[in-house]
Amino acid sequence: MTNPAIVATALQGITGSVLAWGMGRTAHGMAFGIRLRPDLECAPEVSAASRRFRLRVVSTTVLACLPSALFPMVGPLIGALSVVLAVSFYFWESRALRSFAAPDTGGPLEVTLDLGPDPLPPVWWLGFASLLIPALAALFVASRWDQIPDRFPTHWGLNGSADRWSTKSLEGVFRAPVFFAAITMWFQAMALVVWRGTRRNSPWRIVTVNVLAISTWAMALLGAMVTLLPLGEPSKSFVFLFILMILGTIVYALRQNPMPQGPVDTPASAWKAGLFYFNREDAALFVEKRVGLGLSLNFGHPWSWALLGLPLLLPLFVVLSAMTD
Amino acid sequence: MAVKIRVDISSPVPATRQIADALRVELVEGRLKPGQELPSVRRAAIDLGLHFNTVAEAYRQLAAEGWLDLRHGRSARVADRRQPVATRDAVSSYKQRLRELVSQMRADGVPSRRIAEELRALAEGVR
Repeated sequence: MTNPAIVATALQGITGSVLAWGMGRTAHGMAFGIRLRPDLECAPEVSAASRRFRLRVVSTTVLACLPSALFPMVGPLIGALSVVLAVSFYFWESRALRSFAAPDTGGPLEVTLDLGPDPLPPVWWLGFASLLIPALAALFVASRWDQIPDRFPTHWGLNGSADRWSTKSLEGVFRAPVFFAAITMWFQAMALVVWRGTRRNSPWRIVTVNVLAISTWAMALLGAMVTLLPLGEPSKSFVFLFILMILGTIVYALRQNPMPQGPVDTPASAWKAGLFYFNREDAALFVEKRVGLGLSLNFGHPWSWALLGLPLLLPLFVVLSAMTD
Repeated sequence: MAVKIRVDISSPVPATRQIADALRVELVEGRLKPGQELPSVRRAAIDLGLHFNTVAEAYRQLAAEGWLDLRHGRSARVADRRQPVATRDAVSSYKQRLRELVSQMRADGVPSRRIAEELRALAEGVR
């Protein structure tokens, strides 16, 4: 088995585990996006639905791992297909449990309106410091300009051999740190939007900002690694540290279980299939997911569509960048 | 500092009025003091799970009553409101509303002594 096969299989396995565990969990009286009637929270049908969902997702993941290992090139496609299947299994169970749903309370009952200031958390400000890592790497590369060859590899294919090259020029050498600085700013902007667009009483607000902050530092590390490419192949320790940070972020997010007990602050009628929140009357851009893990966009908020559209600029930049090479 | 606001969107009472009523209680009972800043319309709407216009309308209603100062470009602040002198008609109207409420309470079995105690406590709670 080649290295790309291991990577494709591992990614498949991680995605499947996160989906099976995260989407199939029943916590705080919620299951598959449905708030259960209190007397039916422990009903055998609920735990059976959860077991059935997990079994289906795990089976799909195991089946998907084989073609991913044999043909790593089609790994992303198979991965996307597994996600689509997991979502359809989720809808299936959500439908099956519909008769177990508690009556809709109609929305927030009693809300504590905080009158105090709402400053951004220090971790957000620290995110800007991560820009220093690719900046220092860029300075290091600039100080060794004479050692940069006229042509150097910038991308390696799944078989491990270099398939894209860049030339020794200001643009060719320093494109990477600029690109990663843009990514950092994007992460910072996302954290700001989450902080400003989520209810203050949501415990997932700070958790999401923390996850974005760790991701910012992980991306800065990746940025430094790519910036150093003109001086030779990247050190394996960079890659190891990057993967460690990403895995750490996933573990941190999965270990959080901060969904507050009590009435749900979003009307059940605004949840489409228990997964998508659409409420034009709610000013929040992000609300807590009904699976109790993370935040969900409010698709009834006009900015949600802008947020979905903006990430398309990144692949556009990559395509335009590749065309100018 | 935080204030508890009860908003029930399934209630026939409009959310705007529910917010204005809840904030008025805090203002009348002196928990919100002159000069104190209120959350921006955007922030309050997000925290309450309501539309911006609903909260903006409640703020405007309180500003029209003289409770809030809504100057453009700065947050809503509690105004130093002068106590107005109630007209005879207004007192008569409130008396009628109180009579209806007390009748409802008595019809629901609340003893007269308890009603009197509650009314006195509420009246004394007002600054």
